[in-house]
Amino acid sequence: MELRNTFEAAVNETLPMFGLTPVFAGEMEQPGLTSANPVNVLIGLTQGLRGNVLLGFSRPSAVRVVSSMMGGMPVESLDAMAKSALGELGNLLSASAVLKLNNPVPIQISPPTVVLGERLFLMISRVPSRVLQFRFDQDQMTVRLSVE
Amino acid sequence: MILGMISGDESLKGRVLLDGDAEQIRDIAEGMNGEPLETTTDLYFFIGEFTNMFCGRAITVINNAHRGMEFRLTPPAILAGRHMDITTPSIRSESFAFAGGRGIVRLDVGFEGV
Repeated sequence: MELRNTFEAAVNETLPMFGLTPVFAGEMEQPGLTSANPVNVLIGLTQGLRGNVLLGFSRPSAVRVVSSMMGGMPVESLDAMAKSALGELGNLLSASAVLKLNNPVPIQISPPTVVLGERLFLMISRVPSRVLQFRFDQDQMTVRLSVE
Repeated sequence: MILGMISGDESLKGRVLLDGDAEQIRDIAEGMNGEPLETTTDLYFFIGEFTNMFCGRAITVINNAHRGMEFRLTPPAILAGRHMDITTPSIRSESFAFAGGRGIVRLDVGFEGV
């Protein structure tokens, strides 16, 4: 199985645990790994597979995802608790996806880093990346995968 | 610039963050290239390489001093933007600032559970 497939499976298994119903909304290949999303969760991969995984959200989508993860608790802003929840979502999805790969050499994932900002530009790799889009209700999540 | 560092047995997971004034970062990247860089993409590429070299050297020192740790690096991520907020929730880090000829470069390093 490829990382792209295991990530799709991980999203479809993990988000329903928080009451979200993800719908796969398409994919494309990009020449590098870049993001202009205002909310990003970055996870590095090393040893069995070297690369990066990037989850991208709009701010309203990120707030609603965090609220769902907290059982529907109202979330006003992306404070420390919200950023911790987003990091945990990155951890859950990445760990689930790499375990499903059954790679002969274990794949290690880095601690997730949450990046917020305006006019953000992330350039992570010149290696082609696979971009997967998921929708849930009115929200969207982008998963970008790049393996060297 | 962000990258992860993970020990071979996954007992230690860390994160390195290098950030600095735009002019100082450009100075480092152009110093590596040996001449001015014309595009932002080239600037990001060279500073990514610098981060790789810098952290590669750092984990070599750690791995030599602590046999068996076998730290590995994830590929570096280059971030640019305004009002950026970069958080690695599971890590408590320490920062060191260095003054260059054209600004400050800050090194922020931390490990989970340390």
